[in-house]
Amino acid sequence: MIDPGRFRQVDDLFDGALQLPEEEREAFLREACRGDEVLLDEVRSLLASVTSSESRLGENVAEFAAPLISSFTGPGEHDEPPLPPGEMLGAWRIVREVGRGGMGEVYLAERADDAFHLQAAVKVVKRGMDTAEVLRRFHAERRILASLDHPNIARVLDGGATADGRPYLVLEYVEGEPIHRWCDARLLELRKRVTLFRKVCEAVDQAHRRLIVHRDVKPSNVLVGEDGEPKLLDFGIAKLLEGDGEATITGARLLTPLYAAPEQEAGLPVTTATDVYSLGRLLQLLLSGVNPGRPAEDPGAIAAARGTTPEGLRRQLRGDLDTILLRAMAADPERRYASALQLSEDLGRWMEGRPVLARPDSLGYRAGKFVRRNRGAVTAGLLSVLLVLTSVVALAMAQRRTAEALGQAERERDAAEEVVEILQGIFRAGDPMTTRPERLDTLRARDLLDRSALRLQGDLADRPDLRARLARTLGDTYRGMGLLEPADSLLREAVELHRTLGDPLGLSRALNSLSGIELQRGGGAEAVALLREAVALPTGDPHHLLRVRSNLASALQRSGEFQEAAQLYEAVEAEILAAPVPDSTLLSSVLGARGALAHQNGDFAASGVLLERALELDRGRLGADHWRVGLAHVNLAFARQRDGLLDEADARYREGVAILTDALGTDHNLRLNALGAWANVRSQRGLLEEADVLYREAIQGIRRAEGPSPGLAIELSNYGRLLEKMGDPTGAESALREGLEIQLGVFGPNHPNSGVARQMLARFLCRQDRREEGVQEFTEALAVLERAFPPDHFRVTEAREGLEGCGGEAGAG
Amino acid sequence: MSSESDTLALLRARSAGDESVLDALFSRMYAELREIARRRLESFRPGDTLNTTALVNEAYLKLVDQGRAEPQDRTHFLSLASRAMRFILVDHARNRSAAKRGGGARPVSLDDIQLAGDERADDLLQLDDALNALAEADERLAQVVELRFFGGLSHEEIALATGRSVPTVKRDWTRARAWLLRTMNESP
Repeated sequence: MIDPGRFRQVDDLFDGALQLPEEEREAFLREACRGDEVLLDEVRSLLASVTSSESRLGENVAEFAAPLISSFTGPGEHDEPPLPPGEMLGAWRIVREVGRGGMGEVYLAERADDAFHLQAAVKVVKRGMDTAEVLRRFHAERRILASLDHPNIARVLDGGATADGRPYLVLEYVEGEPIHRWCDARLLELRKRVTLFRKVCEAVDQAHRRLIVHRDVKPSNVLVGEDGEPKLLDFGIAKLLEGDGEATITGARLLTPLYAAPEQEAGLPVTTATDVYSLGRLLQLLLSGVNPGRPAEDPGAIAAARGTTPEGLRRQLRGDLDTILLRAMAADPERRYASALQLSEDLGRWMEGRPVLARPDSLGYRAGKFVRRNRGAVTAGLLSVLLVLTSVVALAMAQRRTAEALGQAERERDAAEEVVEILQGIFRAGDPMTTRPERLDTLRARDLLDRSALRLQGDLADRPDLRARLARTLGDTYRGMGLLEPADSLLREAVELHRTLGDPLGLSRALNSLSGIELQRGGGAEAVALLREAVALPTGDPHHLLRVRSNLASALQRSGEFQEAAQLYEAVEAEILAAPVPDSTLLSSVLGARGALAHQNGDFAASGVLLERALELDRGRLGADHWRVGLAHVNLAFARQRDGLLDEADARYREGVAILTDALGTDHNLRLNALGAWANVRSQRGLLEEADVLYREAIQGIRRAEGPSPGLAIELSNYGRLLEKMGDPTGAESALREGLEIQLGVFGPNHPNSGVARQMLARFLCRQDRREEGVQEFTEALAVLERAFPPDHFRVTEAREGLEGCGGEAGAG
Repeated sequence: MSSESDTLALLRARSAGDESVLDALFSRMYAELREIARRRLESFRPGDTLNTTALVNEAYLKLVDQGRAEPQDRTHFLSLASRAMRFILVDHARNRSAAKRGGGARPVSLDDIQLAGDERADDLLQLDDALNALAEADERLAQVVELRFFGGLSHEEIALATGRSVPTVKRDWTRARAWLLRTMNESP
């Protein structure tokens, strides 16, 4: 329990930690606890229960204890006394009361004149329902329900009125468990759950064909018996019981039927589409364990009841199942499946791995399906992946700095800074790195940004200090949104202002941010120059310095200075690990970058080890669906691809791209780069059409966002190779040449990137039997690559062999 | 004296520091909230849930003369009503829990509402115990839980009722909830 003597001390620390950004809490607590491990653990455990307490307790007792509250009208509180055992209702004898809910009581009864003791459930409705109109409808509907004869629907056997005039129904007695508990108790995996659920759909569809709507599909109305067959209870009963009673309820509507469709809640006409919605809710519960009105359960327990891990479950649910659910539960009845049968059939398609109806047939989507069904078909072909890898990792570093710069700015506190803080609060909503996509309304955020950038020009002319900080914050946010133009001019302004003000830390941060833009555009040398200036500044902040040094290493790597980059990275990694509280964010970036360097040096095994370390680190500290974990999958996929492990590479790309799409949206540059790389593997596996689709999406997106950037060049060169394979030499040549032109424009003729792009063009020319041009390009490429790499580097060997194969003379290396 | 202005007078006496009116005021609220809840629940169907915020607000409209009420009256009322709501629900949970223990074997479920209700009853009792423990350590945090969790008050309303800033209230709520869960997990 709580120790009141100690409470104040613990709670003060807890409160203090909560006011800090998450990554600073640990350091703060270590400092504040001064070696008192018990205290430290106590505050840590409180911090750790913040999230779980949010999901377990919720905001309101009504969420937390919904079933308890709806049972408020329990027996003996104010209801009619129960019918005594032995009481006769027509031919039925009451055995005992077995339940009591808002609408009335339920009894177990048996048929008095039956030698087999046929049992039944008798539902007696509450007083207040027994008006003449209700009774008339009750009897009419009962006859219709009695005609429902389906093995998965509990039958209505009889009905009548009690001695005191209350209507009752006699229903087939079903002994069983609510469907979700039945599934959980048997640890049923998803496919078996879907199979079971489809029977429910088909039963509902049967009733719909007779124009009978259930109106109240929910787990407690779907019981599964010992034979494993589901039975639907209470078909159409809700309508029978819907007398004039509802019309007399005045004031605010307090009922929130948890499985009710929106139109039902709005009091609009109920149709078969209403049942489709409730079926969707039920399916959601069976698949994901999400039960409206109840606090979320532990993801580990939910997954375990489905024979998998939380991550495995997320993976299974993502994609088609999710789409099917969304379609079934669309707010607009018109957008739902037209029938319960259609829902069932779509689930059948999912089980067979065929395209589901629940999504318009985009090419990319069909391609994905095609690949899954034709996993065996792999043809090898070698494409350049080196460049892609470099650019993705470097982009990751650049992106990380966005979030970081915002975090740092946030920590600076003085009176004037409050203005900045308020603005940041608004802007951060626009940065996908710190905001979940569902909360991101990019357009609105963009408008806010633009308006604020304009105000910066006018309002703050006499406050250079504020202006500098705001310019930096705005610049970083634009950059986080991938809008490099406005980001660039704002950050340059920030650099100049901080320089004039003589603020080394501010200047260092602005330079750091600006270098990120240069890197994104391919200006490696400019980035190196900016970061060398930053590293030399007396900022007095060792943590910041470490990050700037790591960024410098990244820029060096991008400029082709692999030696210095590798040394700097290793020094940074050693310093991180030596710190009392290692900066795990930075560590994961450094591991990723070292993995990329190993890759560039042709050491794919070492690269794999480093990248796997980075992936595990990220998954552990960020959770499996964080964008950074998606990126780690993509990076590791590169290494596996290069190692010839195409199956694993394809799977990892799929996983990585799925995570990136969920976390960052479809247009983010990280995702687009990953698409290009994925296309590569598919092309290598001979899945040309599928690769084509992915390349087009990647190229279109990158061209729109970045213009002629290295990332675009890579995709163009690789796409050229694909077009050639697809029998389009004209398209291939123009893509390859555009790719080379961009690399030349960005890096100059002597950068290895230009060499690789030129080599790809050369290979194409040779294969097209344009040997003279081919040999010329090869010779030039080889010269560049020989300068950039050691003589036995795979790039060099490849180029030399290519040149010889084309009929040219390779020099002595 | 009508019952509305009566309540108003009690509220004001209470907020002026006259603790003796507490019992009268509280029992009136308790009875009224219970009655409103009962009426609401009569038209419930299985699976429906009760909106405690609406209950508390409805009780306010009923018990307090709107023409004469001032903002602070409402705040005082909501605070007390939140506590009454807590007592009502916890009493209910206690009854159900006792009924379950004394009731022998469970009947076959045709309508699982009651069984599910029993499950949550014990959770709510545990939460109530944890809240009492928290109140001993920090009355203020416990008050936020009462207002938020049982009374359904918004952060802004709580800020108004307690004279704290909204960010502080939010943080108090976050902390209180973490303490509660931890205490609940520790209890047997």
